[in-house]
Amino acid sequence: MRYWLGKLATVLLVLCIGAGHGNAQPQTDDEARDLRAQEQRLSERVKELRSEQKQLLVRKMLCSSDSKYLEIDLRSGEGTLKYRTRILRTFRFSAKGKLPKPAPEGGLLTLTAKEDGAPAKRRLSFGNAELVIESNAARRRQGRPGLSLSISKRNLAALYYTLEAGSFLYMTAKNR
Amino acid sequence: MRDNGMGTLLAVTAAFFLSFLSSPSIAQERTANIPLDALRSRVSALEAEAASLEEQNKGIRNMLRQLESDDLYIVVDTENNRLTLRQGSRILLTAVVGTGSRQYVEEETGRNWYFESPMGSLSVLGKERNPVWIRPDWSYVEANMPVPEPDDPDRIVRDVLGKYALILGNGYKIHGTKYTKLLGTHFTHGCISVGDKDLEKLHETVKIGTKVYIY
Repeated sequence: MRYWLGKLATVLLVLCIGAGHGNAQPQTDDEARDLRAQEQRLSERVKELRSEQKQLLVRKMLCSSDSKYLEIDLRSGEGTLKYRTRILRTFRFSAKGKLPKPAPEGGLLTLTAKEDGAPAKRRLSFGNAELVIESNAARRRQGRPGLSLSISKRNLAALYYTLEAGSFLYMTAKNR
Repeated sequence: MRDNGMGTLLAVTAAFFLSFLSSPSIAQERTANIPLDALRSRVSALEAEAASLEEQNKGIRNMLRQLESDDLYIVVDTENNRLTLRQGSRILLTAVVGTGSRQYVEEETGRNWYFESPMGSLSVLGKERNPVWIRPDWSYVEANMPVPEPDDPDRIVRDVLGKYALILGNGYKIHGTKYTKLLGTHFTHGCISVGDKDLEKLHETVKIGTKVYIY
């Protein structure tokens, strides 16, 4: 019996030493967990900052370029024709349809086509016709995908003669 | 039964290994030590990147703020014949104006003129009271009259440009008109014609150097 008790005591002693050796682990685990959480948080922050920087650089490019551009706020239904930081014209629009996903990079689209014709039939087409600006009086083409913004004939005339192929349309960040 | 020491040795060895392996210490610390260091360096690299991006974005925002000015500026929409006096995003005045007729006139000699308002970004180069019109050659050609010498006093015409004029350069001005009924149409030879009241307000408010954007 004494023999077995002695053995048991030895084993227990060794187990205690071993367990003592492993005591540092919970601390290591906590730190690893904290670091992973921090890494996750920082990764999201960096992503956010990069996206913000993209926006800021687009605005900087528009504000320092020598071309007129459109700024569109889909939420408020208000558009602005701008030259650098100057407002040349503001207009209201009503939107029909949806922008195809994914949203355009940096919220920027380029004027690709100007369809001429009677004032009510003029049309400005941006990107791959993802967004079209047309007159209130224009009939929406059936089955056409993408977003269509309807504006008054007077506003359309002003935009039509002011913007050229390659002009930018910028959707403000809150739209996307 | 006597212990030959072998049993004890085995029990101690097994217990030692058990204690290490059953607690995560050896198994994980071997892998955790390296990832922990890697994690620490990844986190500090991300911290540095975020700080740098924040700094860069702050710089761009400041740059954009500097570009935004609260100066007065004039915008002329030649398509709809409207002039707007703005300060930042505020509209101080909207006026119905006359702009270039987009007509073409040709002289027998081949000289020709196209009457369009100058497009683009211009500045008010000067302000005049009771401006005088120095009748240009095209005015005579248009009226089928012989063109006089450049310094001919016949060219000086008073009381046709209103009380004030804002000089835009290259012979273009924002001025008054006798043909107020034509305001809102394309009837000028390129200048921007404004009604009396609006002209007075413009003359009072606008300073030399004020930007004029014609589109």
